[in-house]
Amino acid sequence: MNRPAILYALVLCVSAASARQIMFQEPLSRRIANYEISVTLDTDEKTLAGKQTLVWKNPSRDRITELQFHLYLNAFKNSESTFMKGSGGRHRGIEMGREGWGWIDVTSMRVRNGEELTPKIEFIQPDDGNTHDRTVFRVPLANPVGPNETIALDIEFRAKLPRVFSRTGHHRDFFMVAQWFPKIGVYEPAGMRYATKGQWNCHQFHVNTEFYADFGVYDVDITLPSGYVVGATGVLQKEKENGDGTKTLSYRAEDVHDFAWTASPRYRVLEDQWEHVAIRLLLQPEHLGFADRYLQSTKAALRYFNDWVGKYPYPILTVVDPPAKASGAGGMEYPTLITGGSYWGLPAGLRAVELVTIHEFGHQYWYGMIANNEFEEAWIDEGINSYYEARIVDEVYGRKTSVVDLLGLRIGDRELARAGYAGMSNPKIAPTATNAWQFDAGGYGTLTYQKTATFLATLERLIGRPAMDEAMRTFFERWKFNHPSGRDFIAVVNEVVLKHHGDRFGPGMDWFFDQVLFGTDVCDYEATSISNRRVRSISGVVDRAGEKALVRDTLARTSTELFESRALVSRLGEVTMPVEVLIRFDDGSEVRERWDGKGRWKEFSFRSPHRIEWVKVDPDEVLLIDVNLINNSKTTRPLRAPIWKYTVRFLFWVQNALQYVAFF
Amino acid sequence: MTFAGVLGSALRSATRSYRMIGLLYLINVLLALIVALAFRSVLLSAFSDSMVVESLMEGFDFTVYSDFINEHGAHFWALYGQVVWLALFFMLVNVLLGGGTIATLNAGGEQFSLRSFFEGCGRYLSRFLRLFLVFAALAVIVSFVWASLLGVAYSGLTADTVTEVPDVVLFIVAAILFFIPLMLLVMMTDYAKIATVVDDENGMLRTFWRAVIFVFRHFFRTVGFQLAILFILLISIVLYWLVEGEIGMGTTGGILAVLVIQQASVGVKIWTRVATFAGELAIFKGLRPAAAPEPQAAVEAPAAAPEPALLPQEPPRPSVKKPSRRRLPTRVRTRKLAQAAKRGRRSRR
Repeated sequence: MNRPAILYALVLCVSAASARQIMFQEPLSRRIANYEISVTLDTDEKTLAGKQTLVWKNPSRDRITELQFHLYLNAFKNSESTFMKGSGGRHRGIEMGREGWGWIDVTSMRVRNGEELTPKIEFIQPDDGNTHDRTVFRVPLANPVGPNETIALDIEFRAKLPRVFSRTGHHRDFFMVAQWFPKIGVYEPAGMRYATKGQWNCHQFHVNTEFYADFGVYDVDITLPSGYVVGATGVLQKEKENGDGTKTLSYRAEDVHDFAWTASPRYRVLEDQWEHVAIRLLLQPEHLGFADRYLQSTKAALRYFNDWVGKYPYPILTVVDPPAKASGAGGMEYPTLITGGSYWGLPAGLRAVELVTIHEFGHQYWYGMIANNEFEEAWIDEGINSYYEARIVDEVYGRKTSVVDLLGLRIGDRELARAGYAGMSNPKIAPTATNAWQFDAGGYGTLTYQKTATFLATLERLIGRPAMDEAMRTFFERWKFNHPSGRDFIAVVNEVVLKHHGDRFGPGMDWFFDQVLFGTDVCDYEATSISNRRVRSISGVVDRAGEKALVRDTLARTSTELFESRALVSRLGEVTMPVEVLIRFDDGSEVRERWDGKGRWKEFSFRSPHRIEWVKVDPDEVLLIDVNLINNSKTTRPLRAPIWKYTVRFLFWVQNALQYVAFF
Repeated sequence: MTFAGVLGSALRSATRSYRMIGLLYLINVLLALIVALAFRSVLLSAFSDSMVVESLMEGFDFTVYSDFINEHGAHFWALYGQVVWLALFFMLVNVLLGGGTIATLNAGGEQFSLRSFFEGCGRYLSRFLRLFLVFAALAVIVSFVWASLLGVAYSGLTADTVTEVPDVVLFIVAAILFFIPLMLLVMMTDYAKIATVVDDENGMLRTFWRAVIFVFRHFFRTVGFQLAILFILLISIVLYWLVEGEIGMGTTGGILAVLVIQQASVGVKIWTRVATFAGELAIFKGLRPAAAPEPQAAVEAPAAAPEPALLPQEPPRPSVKKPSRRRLPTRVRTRKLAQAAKRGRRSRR
């Protein structure tokens, strides 16, 4: 038995000895990074003291001579960290509290029964060279890890949680403990994603970046004061009172790539069930009125993903409602645990609770199981998830009312996403396929979430819902519990589109992704003009029997009146898409034309007894990515009533404004 | 006069002044039309011959709205800026109109003529402008100081709250509290305007101070009347929303019907404003301290100028300038006014 085999057997023995309940008889993933962690939370000092055993398997044929780790909590260590320099102590609109710093130190690291690694720890900054940043370290190994070998490390660490403003930390007696332990990076062998040779992928923690990690099994013991209610990734195995006012809770999570937990004495626990999934809702007492909104939206998301994407394999889902004063912890996803967000008095017509819950649940698929590299290709998890979020909420709460339905104001999720992108001051600021930390000039959120959701909705309308659903299901089934790249996604789409449509769209959909994902151009088609001219008899000089004859009767008409009708449509943007043009005549007849959309303009001419009444380019609104839908139609009989309607409204607003100032 | 009596009299007086209300409405609608028609031009230019406007007949359409803002937002926001400037301009216009309105009401309302109305506007313009400056300065100071105090109190009270619930409740309370002194200031300015017209006051600081004393001395009656008017205004707004919601604007007929309702609603707002002045005038006349008799001044003063036809109910006054009273120190003057008020009350008994 070689050394790794002995170590692995040792870990298995330890697991067996601790009598953990096995969740999956057959592993769902390759289980590359496996953790056993024992952590104690000091609720007064807001510190963690932890010991962990990491069993890591070399997934490559390379001999690994060094390991790389994330220490995410060091992002909050001081103002010079890359995260703090990028965020200015503010994330998603929430300020870091005064003296709310957080940090993590590895106090000991050694190979099980072997080399002491602590003195060899060296902080590196692979992204920006900021030597003050201590969110990534490397440690060289005296004895390299061979292909498919396993190494076990015993690590001890101490950490101080920051005051929560960006996902993790504390607020009073509320704790959201995430990104909290030394976490190994991902070793990408040659051929995996974009790697041309074996390499560590272990990025620093930036304000716009999220995470990337290998799947594994987590066995975590959490010790904290007895009065605290805990929610965590995975399934609670046992709870033990320690007799000193503390208790220890043991959790196990299999085939996940992260572990987060939360604790607060104020939580109210509500439990529900959806098919095989136990739903555990941890609510703030002042938010009990939101319980139904949380549970209904969670179940709607579970059902939708189960029906349209694939099975949620885990037996549990924990939904956390953080305090409003710790809203920085809200709206976040971890394996089998999501955090939502609510605010006392939030009316039912503002569907923030539902929207956030459904979005974060979607991440169980796009991030949780499809574990793309969020540092480098955030559009895969955030964009695809936003696309599904819109599909679900628009179906459940109404296409035009899924986000806001209050006092006559109605906003749907898909249209909100489109408006976000179309309304960018500079939609060409960067391609969506940009490393998340390199959206230096802005646009990360809009391009990653909203533009992707919009171009995927466009793709769905182009290739049809059945093809889109099959593509997404295939992508999920083929790549779940793995690390797909954007190329892998496009390859699946190409494959399914060819199967459904043959070469109707060409050899694949690369032309589509090249423009909307890798390019920055915008799409804008316009119905430019309509003209209807009576066809008149010829006038002027004609040859008749060898003589010149002057025909003066310019008003002579054919027996039936004929019109020479033209509809001109134009491409104003640089993006080219196949597009349909619908032309309606004044007798009610319609003609539907196809245009490859490549030229700058296209004219459709007709000679008929009927005049063109209107023309619509992209009449079915396939091209949601079109940044201006107002100019997509043109009519010879414009309806003026809506203009008057809003003029009348505006007049009333102005009159009221004047009348109110008349009180002064 | 009882409180209900004042309210009833104010509403009747405002109703009798329908011609003046018509004039005020006309000014309001004409000014508003300037930007409303510009807005229509923006809409026409934005939507041109597009068919997306058809969806607007069904109600608010966020996609159309967002595309409109993306493509024509600059025009829209420019227009919005014009509305702000127009409102500021109307504030000044209102200073002008205030004189005519109160003078007409003071004259009984029935004798309304454009000439007399604008005479009133012109006569009090300078004084009302000065009064407006006093009000504006005080409003800025009071708003700043009061908002700061409320802000400090709010921060102190919410610093250690565990949940957002007390924060929300306290915010609502603070917002209401913030508007109370502003409402009082507006009331005081109203009474100062009324005092200016009724007593032909000229020193605006002094008149404002007199109004302050008046409001605080008759706090429940003045504030009660103001709240009653606000209540009527609130009811009219709620009624408007209910009726408008029932009618809808989905058809041309609906648009026309709502236009009528909207204009009626604006008319009601103008009517309540006129009723406010009428009620305040009644309260002031009923409760104000009678002018302290000052025989020497009366003897020494030159013959009073003939009262304009606009103010037939005004008793003859010794002098427009009232030189001796203006020279009295404030405290003495206040005491005299109080004594006069006492005498007035006694004589009424």
